[in-house]
Amino acid sequence: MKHVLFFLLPLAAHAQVALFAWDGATETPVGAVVDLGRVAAGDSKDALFRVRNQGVAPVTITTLFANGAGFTIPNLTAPPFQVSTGNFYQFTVRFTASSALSYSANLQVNGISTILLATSMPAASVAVVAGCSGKDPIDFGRIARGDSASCTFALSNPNTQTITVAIIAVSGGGFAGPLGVSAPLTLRPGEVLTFSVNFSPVDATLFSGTLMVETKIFKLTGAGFDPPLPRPTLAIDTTAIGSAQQRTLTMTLAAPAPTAASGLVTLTFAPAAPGVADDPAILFVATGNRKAPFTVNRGDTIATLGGKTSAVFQTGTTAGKISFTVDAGSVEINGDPTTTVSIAATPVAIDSASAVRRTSDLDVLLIGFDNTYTAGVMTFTFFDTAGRVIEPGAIRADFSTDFRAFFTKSPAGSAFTARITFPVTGDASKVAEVEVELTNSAGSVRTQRVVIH
Amino acid sequence: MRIALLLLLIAASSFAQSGLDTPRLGMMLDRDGALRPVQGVAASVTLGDPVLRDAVSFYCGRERCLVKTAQAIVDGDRSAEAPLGNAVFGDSLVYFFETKQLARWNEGKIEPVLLASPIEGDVLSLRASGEDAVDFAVRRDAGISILRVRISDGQVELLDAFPPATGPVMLLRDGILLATPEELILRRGDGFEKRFGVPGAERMFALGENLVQIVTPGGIFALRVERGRELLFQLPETAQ
Repeated sequence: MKHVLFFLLPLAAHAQVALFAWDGATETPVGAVVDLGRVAAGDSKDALFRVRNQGVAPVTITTLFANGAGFTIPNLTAPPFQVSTGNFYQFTVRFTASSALSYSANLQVNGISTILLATSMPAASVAVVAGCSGKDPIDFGRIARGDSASCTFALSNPNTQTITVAIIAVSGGGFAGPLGVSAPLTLRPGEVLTFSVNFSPVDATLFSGTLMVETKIFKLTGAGFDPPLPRPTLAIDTTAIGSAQQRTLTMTLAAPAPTAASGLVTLTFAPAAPGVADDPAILFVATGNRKAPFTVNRGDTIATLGGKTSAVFQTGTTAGKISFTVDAGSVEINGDPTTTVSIAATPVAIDSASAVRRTSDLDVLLIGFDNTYTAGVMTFTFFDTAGRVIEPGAIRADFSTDFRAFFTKSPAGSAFTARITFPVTGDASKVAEVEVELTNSAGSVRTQRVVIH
Repeated sequence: MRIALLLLLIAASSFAQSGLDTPRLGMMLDRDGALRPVQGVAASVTLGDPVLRDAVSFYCGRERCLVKTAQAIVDGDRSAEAPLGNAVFGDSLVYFFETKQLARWNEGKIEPVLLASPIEGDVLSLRASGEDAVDFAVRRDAGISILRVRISDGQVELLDAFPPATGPVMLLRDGILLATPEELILRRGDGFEKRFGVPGAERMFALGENLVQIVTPGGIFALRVERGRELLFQLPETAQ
């Protein structure tokens, strides 16, 4: 019984292993012959194999070799070693072609034997002439998005016989070619042809491709990047910027844009008045907020803002500093484009003043704004129907507390409607006009005489 | 003396009755059909939250804002069923495009105003002219005509004609605002004329007292038409 077992064990082990070719996705059972095909002289070609354990017990791999000129198994785990149930051992057979001959080898895995074939053929030589560097991969370097780089290759025949090059092909996004040659072509001994491959990145990212000359494959690489924008100049249509204005902003570049870019022009505001947080009326009108999209095309020196040559913004009704910055996303900007304009503190601006007479009151209605947020002191001077000042003359009142309370909750900056009511018990019809002087920290302003209706 | 004495008394009481508020210029119709308050002062405005979301046209005057929705007229918290479609206002008068009917808004009700004969052409704007007449801006083949129609007997008087005007028109209390493809033209009865470089006007609304909203593909504008204080400025678009 012991002898029987001795002979049965290797047979069982042989039956439970199988040899497959592996292409990275599919295992294909290997037959008696595997042909690695044509390989350019001086080049090498790899084939992947898997020894799979299909049995219910571990298998020991005792034999694994490729015996034949030109064939090697790099990085081979030296037998014996085990492959567990359902598992596999993967290895590479490499054929390195030298002289233009046909080659064969015996691939042996335990009891499985397969003939490997390969043909070495006289091949063209490919070398980089100019425009890129390196060998594996061949590097086109960093190229600005929208620009193009060209790499020149020399294709020569170092053999003693004329050869035909059937395939010259370039693949990979961003790479194009070959330019200057067209396969198939014939090369006489010693003849040299040049051709080029172009690299035109469409994104700011890393690109990979291949140049295939017959069976030789050269990896290509290149990086696209967005070159920095020349420093933008943000200009406003006037230097006399004040409150309650609508001004236009333009964006120009110091030099033509080296690449197309887009992003946002952002407005920020720093109020001058203590305790004032912001002024919601300061905004770009086209967007209703503080961001305006910009676009610049390659070669342009003028950016479009929201599709137009300029963007209108409101200066609001608060003294302070309005700043504009540019964010071009992934595109860098040469220099700081931030532009700041100051809105000076001014006396109260009166948009309209009116006065009405009611049965026992006089109402004075003022609409305006106070960009200092310090208004409150008012002086009223009443005139009779003959235009004479009614005694006792100017009447001073201080509404500072009212204004401070109002400004804390105003949704429209410092704009205000003030209604001041004067109780009258006499003949109010003889009060014909009124003048109002409003004072803030920047000075005083006086209305014209307002007719009381 | 008596007045002076009164004013002295007022001074002593320190004007206890005063009020501060945010200026409201009127309303504007945004591109989504929402009616929004316009706050602030000219050229420095903010928009409030929508007060109505399905407006097709509106009119804001000194005393009220009337809004046409698809099927009603809304005046604050009052509304009344109205003919379908768009309408144009002239203070309390309203003209319904679909039915070519004139009516008056009166205390929350729509009261028909019968005309002896229908208005020929497309009515673009209207305004009351005294108690018995209505002025219409009408688009006809020959351009814009301004007609005065007497309600009592239907007599029609041609007041003016503007052949170059191709866009919307608004009859103002003291003149007319016209639109050509390239600009806005403000004309008054005394011959005053001022032009504003706003191309492509598509619609006009009475935004508020002496303020007109002009809608163009390139922006929404407001024109202050108050005599001597004419001012064009842009209204903020609704923030996205």
